[in-house]
Amino acid sequence: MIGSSKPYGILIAVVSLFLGSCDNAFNPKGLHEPKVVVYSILSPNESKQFVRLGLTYDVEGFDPTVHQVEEFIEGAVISVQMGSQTFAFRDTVVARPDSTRYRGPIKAYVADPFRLIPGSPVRLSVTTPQYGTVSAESTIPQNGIIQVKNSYLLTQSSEFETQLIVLVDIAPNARGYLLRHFVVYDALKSGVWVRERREFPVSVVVFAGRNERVFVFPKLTRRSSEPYRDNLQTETIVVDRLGYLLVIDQILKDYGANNVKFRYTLFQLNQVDAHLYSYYNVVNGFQDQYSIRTDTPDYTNIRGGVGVFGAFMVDSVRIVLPEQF
Amino acid sequence: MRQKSVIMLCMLFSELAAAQGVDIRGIVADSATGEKLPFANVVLVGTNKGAATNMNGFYLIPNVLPGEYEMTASSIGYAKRTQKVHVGTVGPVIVEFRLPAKAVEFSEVVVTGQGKPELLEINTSVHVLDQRELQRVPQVMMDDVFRSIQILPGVVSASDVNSHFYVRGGASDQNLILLDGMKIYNPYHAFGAFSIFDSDILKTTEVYTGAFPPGFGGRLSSVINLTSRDGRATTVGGGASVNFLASKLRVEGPLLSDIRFIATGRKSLFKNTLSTMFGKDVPLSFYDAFVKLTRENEDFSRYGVQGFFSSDALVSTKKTEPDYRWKNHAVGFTASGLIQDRVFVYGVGFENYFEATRDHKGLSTVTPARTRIKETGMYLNATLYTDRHDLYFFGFEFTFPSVEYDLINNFGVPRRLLSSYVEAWSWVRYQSRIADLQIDGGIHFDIGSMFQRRINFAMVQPRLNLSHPLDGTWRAKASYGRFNQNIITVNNEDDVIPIFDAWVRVPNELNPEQADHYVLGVEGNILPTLSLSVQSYYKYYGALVTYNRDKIDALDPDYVNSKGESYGLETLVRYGDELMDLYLAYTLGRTTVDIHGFRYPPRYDRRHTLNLLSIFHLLEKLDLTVRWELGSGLPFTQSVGYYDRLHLPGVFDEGFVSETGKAYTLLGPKNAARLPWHHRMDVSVMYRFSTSVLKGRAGVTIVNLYNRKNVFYFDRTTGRRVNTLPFFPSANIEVEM
Repeated sequence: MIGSSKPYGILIAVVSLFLGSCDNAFNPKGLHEPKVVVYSILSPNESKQFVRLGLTYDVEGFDPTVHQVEEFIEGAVISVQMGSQTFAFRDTVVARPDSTRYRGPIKAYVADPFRLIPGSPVRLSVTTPQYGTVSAESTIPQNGIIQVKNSYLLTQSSEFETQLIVLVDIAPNARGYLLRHFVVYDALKSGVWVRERREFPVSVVVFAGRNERVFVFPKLTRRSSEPYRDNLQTETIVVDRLGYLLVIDQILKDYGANNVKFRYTLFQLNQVDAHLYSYYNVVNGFQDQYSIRTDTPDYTNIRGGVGVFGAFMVDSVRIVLPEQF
Repeated sequence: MRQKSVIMLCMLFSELAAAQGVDIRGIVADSATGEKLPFANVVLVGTNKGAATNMNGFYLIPNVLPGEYEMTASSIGYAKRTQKVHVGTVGPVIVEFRLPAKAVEFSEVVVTGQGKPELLEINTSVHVLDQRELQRVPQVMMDDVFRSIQILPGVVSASDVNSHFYVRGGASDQNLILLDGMKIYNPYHAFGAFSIFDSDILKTTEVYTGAFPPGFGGRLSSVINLTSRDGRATTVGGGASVNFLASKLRVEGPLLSDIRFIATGRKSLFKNTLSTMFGKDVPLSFYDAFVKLTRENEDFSRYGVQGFFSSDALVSTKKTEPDYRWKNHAVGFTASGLIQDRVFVYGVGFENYFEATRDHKGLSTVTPARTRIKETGMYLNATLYTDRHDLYFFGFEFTFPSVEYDLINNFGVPRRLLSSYVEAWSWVRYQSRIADLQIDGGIHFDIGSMFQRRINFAMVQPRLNLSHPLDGTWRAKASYGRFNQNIITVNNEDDVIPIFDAWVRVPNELNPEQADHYVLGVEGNILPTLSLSVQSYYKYYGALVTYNRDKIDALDPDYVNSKGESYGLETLVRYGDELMDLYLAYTLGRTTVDIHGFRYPPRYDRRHTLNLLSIFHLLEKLDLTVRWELGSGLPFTQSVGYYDRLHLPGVFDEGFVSETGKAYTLLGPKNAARLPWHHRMDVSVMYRFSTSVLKGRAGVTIVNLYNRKNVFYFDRTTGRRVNTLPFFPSANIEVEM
């Protein structure tokens, strides 16, 4: 009896094993361990600096937009050390322009006054009540130099020169730069002179046969070579004068020649540190319109968290324009 | 160097000139159909002389002294035949063998030695399957060459319905697939549920899982070399079969006295059957067709033209699902024969075309894409038979691929990658025996890279196979080979499982992919009915093409060269007696990719693979076949949460602080997690019948007997999961006249 029941037992065990293994639960999600999300871009534009502090999250299912309450870590101790100075941050709120997903103001931390010292190394430290301490380092780029080689083209016509040549000297601790060119003017609107500015494209793409012109605006650009000691490095930027003329024409068309007073053009050089440069490019598809990769990788220099801590420096040159030209 | 070449040539021709006897040559063919039999062994009894037939069934035994001899010819699946032969002083002597087929049983190949193709005796990593062996593996209603291949040791299948298979840690694009010498790209129906090759057209299937000999190039991992049938030489006949998935028709026979033809066609029946049975739309359809004309002459020369056409469409009625279409065409001309007494040549000229498209139907989650390859090529191989029974092989191959990949990238920008270039190879190969040691070696040259000034260290590719007998039936083997590859597929490496692969040429700034294979093995019989083969392999990838993890901006390339390695152990046990045949293959493998110090397992790194195939001979004409496959989970990258990522559009103007981020999926360590174990049991009962005018097979197959829910596809952005084949009973009937 025992001998005859044994094969059946084995059979039942095998069948049970098979049937038990039919349901194959699979979840591509791993364990979510909350991480601190830090964003801080030190900017020379204002005397105050901000830190956005959040937390990673998970949702039921696969649609993260069901997460409707923005994570914010209260009570964090945040400081940035710049040279011998240490700046402490306090919590604040900032208006939220886009309230489609989250409502209410944006919570952040601010240090005020906090003016950047070009060339200084900076260290961010964030200590949270529940999620420990995260930190990051950066270096504020030094000042650069802008030279417009043929600035007379901004006010005079030339049959032979169609390009503005701009030389910029990049600081050794800047990984990338962005040279922007604006025109600042006063426009008469409803009887009131209002100051405005428009950006010039760096080039214009003309589609033959379609009578269509597409403005190409400058992009954040990697320095062309690694820095040599502490020397500034000169980069040459070529700006298509056609874009300049088309924008000027458009302003005149928009307001009429008598309702515009051109004041000056402004060349603005933004130099960014390595972390801001890398983060900005990676999250924006490497700024590579020719890439065939379909992945969306990430970049962070936050030790123990995600996000970015970076800095940039701004230098500018004004070229005064005659009111009518 | 020049002097050495001259000396070698002198030695070669002096060897030929030294002939004192005459040559015996001929063909070995199937007695019923006239189909020529490759890999048959022909032996001059009582001497140490013999030969193996080539792909045309041709053999040549050189320099036989005058006398009376007895010759035998044997081949797996055929009865052995013996003939008496008189050899005089004037040659050559022509001896033809016609072998009657017998029921193939796996037990036949258990015994090493007699009947075993010489190719298998020497090489470590080769498997030869004929049509009847393909039919032994239970299939999803249709015999399928690739599903049969996937039971071989070292071959990993990603899933039941995925078009990729991986050989010894190699990627799916590293498999060279040839049909009568014509390269075929992505030869799959229904994302890989079936191959596009009807098993009825196949005469033999050679599968090289590593260290393949000179003459095969352009891929790193494996070669699937398919040879089609010529059609019957006796009478016009044909066959038809129908099942729930497809119907097929075959016609073959003599057209004129020396011309034979075979034509087959298959058409899917999903819309007529599965949609009705399940009440759900099955938006898949496919067809394939093959036609071949062969002219044979009495001087052993043959000429053939063949064409192959297949097409698939997955056109969903749902607006939320993209449509896919792909097609494969190939036409070719073959010629072979003796151009000198001892020089046999085989040549192929071909043109193929592959195209796959993805229509996103306006969806935001996928983008439209199209990949196309058009290739014209020619291949020529010469075999030189020497007095010492050594064989020299010389050859070249030129192909002119035009590779095109159109897509809309992440910026919404249309991109077109177009490469038209030349692939050129030449080779020299030598087979010999020194005492008991059998040697098969040579060099394969990538001369195409030289033409294009892409000089690299993998252009010269030595290949070597050694085989030495041990005690009894046991044999020890060792192999080495170097390989490179100029064309790859690209997809998103972070997908859980990809379903659309696009072909591109390796970018100019990168080295072609390159690998070295090392194989050691031992095989023999434990019992007369039980054989064991154990092989270990190590593959070093000196160059792979992978994502550039350090890419920051447009100045950085999308892809970089990386390195990798894979190693493993393969065990193959075969048992056969009157009641059952058993085939058990187990592979333990590990693969690692190394991108500048960042190491991870690629997503085809399966640690354990077990394939069990047992055939029970219940009655003389009734077999029960059980197949069970088990595989440990493949790697994938887990999603571990989300965060709101800032894109900093106005960081230089208004700053970053007021931006609301976009949800971004945080990924865990690359490929650190594993999918669940994959396993499935298929069972079939097949009855063979024959009448005076008809013969055929009728059977029932149950796929996924215990309804295991194996993951086929998972979209991490939507959570949509698609499983592989569920419990699926089917019936099949085939008749042949």
